[in-house]
Amino acid sequence: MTDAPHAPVSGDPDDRRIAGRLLRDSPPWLDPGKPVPYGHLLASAALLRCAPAAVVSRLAALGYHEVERPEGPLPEAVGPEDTVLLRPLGKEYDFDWLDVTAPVPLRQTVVLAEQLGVAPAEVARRLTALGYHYPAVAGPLPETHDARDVLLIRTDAKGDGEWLDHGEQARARHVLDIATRLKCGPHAAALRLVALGVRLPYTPHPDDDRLLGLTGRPGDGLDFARAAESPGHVLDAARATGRRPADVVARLAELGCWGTGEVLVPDVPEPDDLVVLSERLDGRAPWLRVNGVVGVALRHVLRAALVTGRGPAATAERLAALGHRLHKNAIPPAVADEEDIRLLGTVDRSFLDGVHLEHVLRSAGLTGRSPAGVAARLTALGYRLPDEVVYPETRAVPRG
Amino acid sequence: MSHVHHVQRFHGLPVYTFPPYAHPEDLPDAGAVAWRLSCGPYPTDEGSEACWGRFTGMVELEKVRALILGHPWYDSFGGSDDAVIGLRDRFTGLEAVFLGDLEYEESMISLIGLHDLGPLLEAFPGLQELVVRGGDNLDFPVAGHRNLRSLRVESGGIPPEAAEHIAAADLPSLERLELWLGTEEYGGGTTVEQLAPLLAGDGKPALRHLGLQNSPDQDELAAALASAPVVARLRSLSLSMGALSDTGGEALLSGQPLTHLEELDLSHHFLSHAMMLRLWSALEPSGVRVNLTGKSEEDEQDLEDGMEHGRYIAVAE
Repeated sequence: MTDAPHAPVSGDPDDRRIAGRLLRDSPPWLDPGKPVPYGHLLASAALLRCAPAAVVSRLAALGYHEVERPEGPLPEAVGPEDTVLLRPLGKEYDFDWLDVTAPVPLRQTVVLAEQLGVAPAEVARRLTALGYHYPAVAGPLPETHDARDVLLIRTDAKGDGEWLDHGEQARARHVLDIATRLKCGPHAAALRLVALGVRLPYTPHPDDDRLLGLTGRPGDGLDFARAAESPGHVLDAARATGRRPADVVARLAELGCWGTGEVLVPDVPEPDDLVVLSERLDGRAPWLRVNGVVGVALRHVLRAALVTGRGPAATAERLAALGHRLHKNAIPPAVADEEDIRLLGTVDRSFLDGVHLEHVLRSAGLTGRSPAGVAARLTALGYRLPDEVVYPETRAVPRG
Repeated sequence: MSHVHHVQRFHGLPVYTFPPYAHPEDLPDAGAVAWRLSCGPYPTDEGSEACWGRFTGMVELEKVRALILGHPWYDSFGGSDDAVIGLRDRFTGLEAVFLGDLEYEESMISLIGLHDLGPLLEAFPGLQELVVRGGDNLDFPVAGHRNLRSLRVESGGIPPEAAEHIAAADLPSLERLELWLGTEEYGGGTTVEQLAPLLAGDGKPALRHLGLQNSPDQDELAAALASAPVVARLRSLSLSMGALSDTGGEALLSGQPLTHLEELDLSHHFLSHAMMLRLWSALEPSGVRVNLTGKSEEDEQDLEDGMEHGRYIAVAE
């Protein structure tokens, strides 16, 4: 490789350094036919500890007459600590400089703030003082440092990532997903995004965290979108906030929940609705999740029937009205009893699956029933048992 | 059904993944959770050094009872517990460690690198529970450990020497031992002979649960256990996840009595319906819970390709 075409004629080591694209006395050299990048100018000034204007003159003397400039005046001085600001993020493998002709991306400011441990506003001030500019839509950036900003504005982690920019609108679901990942409150995440100049499809409200099920306990680790997408959650949030269930659903939809499907919630809940909608039948979270494929578990219907005193059919009907339908193959018994509940607690097959010998044997062992008895009862409850085997009448013996 | 997934509970505690760029006020009490350290694989993810620095700076390490290390502390490039050992003076309450909690998307289990567990066991004499996932370069000190109660090696192929060392190790407090032995293709190949001290009941007087799992030689293991002295002291036995066939089932039925067991886990197997019924009828009326779920069918392609059988283990690659 030869350095002949663009090697500076000067023998001054400093001249040769600023003529080198890598700011050292060696090729590759700057191309006199192309404008000298503004970042190169500033970094050269920092290197030589002189004013950028002096570097412009020096470069001109070396034959580099065209130098990129900011819209305003050149800064009077550049410190060595400023050079870290001049590298465009995401182009670490190219020897490139932050483009002075384009607005500074939000990512550049936020990631540098994280790396330097300063507020985004501080980075913006320093870059602005160096001649860089921000888009008209960018308002004042936060004066506080928060390392989580980096993840707040990153919408796709893969590769170099996808990043929100000044004035760009984030999806509501992004706020929920990132709050879940950061294990922080969605409202705080939303407020910080707004402070960073990102637009949201809604106006954040302090009640949002309650609507989304945040208890305020450290380490909650909720999947906010998932937790909120259940009729029980909606009714509970309506009760807690004094809102109509339909209004809660509408707000949750604005916040990114309920992406698909209809939401069945009554305007006026019945007294034991929260009980039948709670997994533990205690009227509290965790709430039963809607399963649109295999339906609500028959075991839950029977347990709810016992707790509420309604019959299984009436309980199933009420749950269906609340969005939790039994699968069409399920055959609720006329009366709920503990034996069926115990048996169904050992069956991890849905009404769409076949219940095979292995499952019958497992259920028999765990319930102390005979395989023949288990097979007969599961068949009566609507399960399919496709294996052609003679199930033993022998009972398993529970231990202890 | 996948057997390899991020652990949700560990050492009786809910797992809490230390969030990127965590804030101290968002964190739970140090002793209330099992702490999981894991960073994303992309350049824009928080780096492991920063994450570790934040964790050790924010969390009262003296109160940490359980620690789980994922990517990149463990990945296909290897693994290291140096960071934990280096802070042994602060992790004074550490009772449980899980090394290599990676799912398939992060690394195939056969590629997760491990190492000699000796330094970790020496650094933490109070350790009670240890789980490792992976296989490459795993080793275990024959000298053992005084207080370890539970040891599980999840692997598509435990290096046979490591399994041999575990089998020979002096572990007087060990109550649970689970070895996913794996296949020779992925670094496994442990023989029954290499497990001889374990089968004889040597060195592990407190053992109550033994899992010799995920083996293509599950029938041979069943045959060995049919007369192994260790079985008499067990409350539960697992031969799950492997290539168990009627041959192994017959060996269990014709061997020493198993009716003292509370549970016999044979899930993921290749037993016939007739053998399943025989095993159930022989043991369940005596109070042994026999897990026969996961009945699998032989891979017909393997048979067409001329292989001896089409049975396969649950976790290999």
